[in-house]
Amino acid sequence: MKRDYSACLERISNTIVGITPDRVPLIYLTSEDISARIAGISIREMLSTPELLADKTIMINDFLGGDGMATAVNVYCGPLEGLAYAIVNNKKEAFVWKDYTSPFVREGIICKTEEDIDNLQIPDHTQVEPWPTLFKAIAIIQEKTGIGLDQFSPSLTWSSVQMLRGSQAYIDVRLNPELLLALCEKIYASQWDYYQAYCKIAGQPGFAFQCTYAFNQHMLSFEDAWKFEGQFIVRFAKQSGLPMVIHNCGFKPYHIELIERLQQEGVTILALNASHPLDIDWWVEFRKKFPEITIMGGLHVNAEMENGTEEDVANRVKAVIKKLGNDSRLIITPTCCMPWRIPLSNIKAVTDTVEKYGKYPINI
Amino acid sequence: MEEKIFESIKTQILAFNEPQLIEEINEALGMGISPADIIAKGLSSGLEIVGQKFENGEFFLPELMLSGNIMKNAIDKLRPLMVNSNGHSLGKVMLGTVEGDIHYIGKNIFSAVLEGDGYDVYDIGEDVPPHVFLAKAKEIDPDIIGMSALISIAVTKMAETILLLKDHDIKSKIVVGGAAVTSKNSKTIGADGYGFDAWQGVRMVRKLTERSV
Repeated sequence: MKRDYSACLERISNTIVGITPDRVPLIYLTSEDISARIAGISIREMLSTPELLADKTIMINDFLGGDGMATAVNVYCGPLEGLAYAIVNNKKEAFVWKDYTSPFVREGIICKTEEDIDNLQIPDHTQVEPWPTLFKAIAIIQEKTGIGLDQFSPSLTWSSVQMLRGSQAYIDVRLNPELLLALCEKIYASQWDYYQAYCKIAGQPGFAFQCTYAFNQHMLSFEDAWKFEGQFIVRFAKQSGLPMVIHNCGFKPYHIELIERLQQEGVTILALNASHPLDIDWWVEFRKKFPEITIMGGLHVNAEMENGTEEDVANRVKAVIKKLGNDSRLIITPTCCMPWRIPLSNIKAVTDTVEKYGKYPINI
Repeated sequence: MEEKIFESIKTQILAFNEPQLIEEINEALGMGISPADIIAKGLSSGLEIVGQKFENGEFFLPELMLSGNIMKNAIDKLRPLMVNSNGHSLGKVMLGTVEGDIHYIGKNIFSAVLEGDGYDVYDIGEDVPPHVFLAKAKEIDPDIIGMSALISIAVTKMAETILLLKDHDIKSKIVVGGAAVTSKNSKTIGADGYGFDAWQGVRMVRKLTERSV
């Protein structure tokens, strides 16, 4: 079923700037897993041409409903950035394709040794696949629907650190921090190249959807997370001039500390996309503290959506809208990417509940 | 005198000072202290403090991993001597990341801490299909099978793997963990235990192998 794309765009744009939209927007973060399930073709086939990827992306997002346009193959700088590194560093064996689920990089192979870090080559994102195909697909989607450009999703730096260096990175934090910082500098250079390639091929994004995976309390101290990731986010924000949507799908995120520090450093935060904490009242307090930041979340994909009934899902969505809908600045976003195991009926329950209870003024 | 050397061993673990730790262990052995006592009263006590500090947010993964590594090296040094002093492994734990997921960092940290705690760990790798889990379970006959899934989409495969193991009457207890797993969905998919992080995982393994947690 075709959606009214301009209405979707207006709904999201209004929400982010704090204007009351017609209803609470809904964005699904697709994954290769669920995309392949809906499209019925493999990931590599989807990536075979920009046209096919664009068509399947539109079809999948139309099928799911809501207001978003997430590319069928995840555009964030996770595994596919790993693929680009694997190609330019002649370590293709580090990458594992999966036809009907997310591909992966075997962690710790590309930068196993200090020499590997010294010699690490940065991919040219205008040339090294799958990036040109993805960027061209985004441009096609934008041309066809008017939405979809704002998928610029860097991952400074920890996602790449873990892919390239593996668990040794955690030892390096204590025993070899200078080496780890040297790796972070190379990752920064690669992410900057990714940004420039995105602008050149897809167009200028309005914001960066920034993954902040170091900022989890069970992984690193805040100080270490700042040292190896936070400072690079600030540098990127200043160099690009882009505001940020912060993404963190960890279980014990440093949301408050990170946002306060980023704001102190002059970074504009438009929205926070997260699955945790699960307690809605925590988010009520977050809203009081940061009234100008849009909350993108409400559901954890591995909670009600995966294991609950349609009624459980509807109740959760309803409760989130009731407590956080206010006059604006809420986007229902099941987080993170949706696994195959989620019943389609539970996805439909999210869409239906947002349609039923999300219209402004909220009246639940 | 023995108490003093055990305290020194704990201190070196908390300082992540492996060379000094080995010196302290050598001194303890020289004093005639049994390897089993060195592990129980020195090394394990030190690791316990590391675990508490991890739970309290004073230590993080770097400290957990460093301490696990030096504990493992210390135990490797003591293990050959333990045959003659009633020392034995606390149990066999088979670990793997389920098919569709390549991530190994969490699994490796868990492995290091388990080995440091005195378990024999059999790491069967990443992206492991259900039938390989089954074959390895038959071959190794572990007390515990640990499965890791970092990404949300891998829980499906975890559920499939557990069903296959149970269908084939594998008696090992199954502990699951990783960022994609929650206490609730671990029960749904039939796991016997869940660990939010490596330290909780160790506690769960201790519980399921009937050790004091």
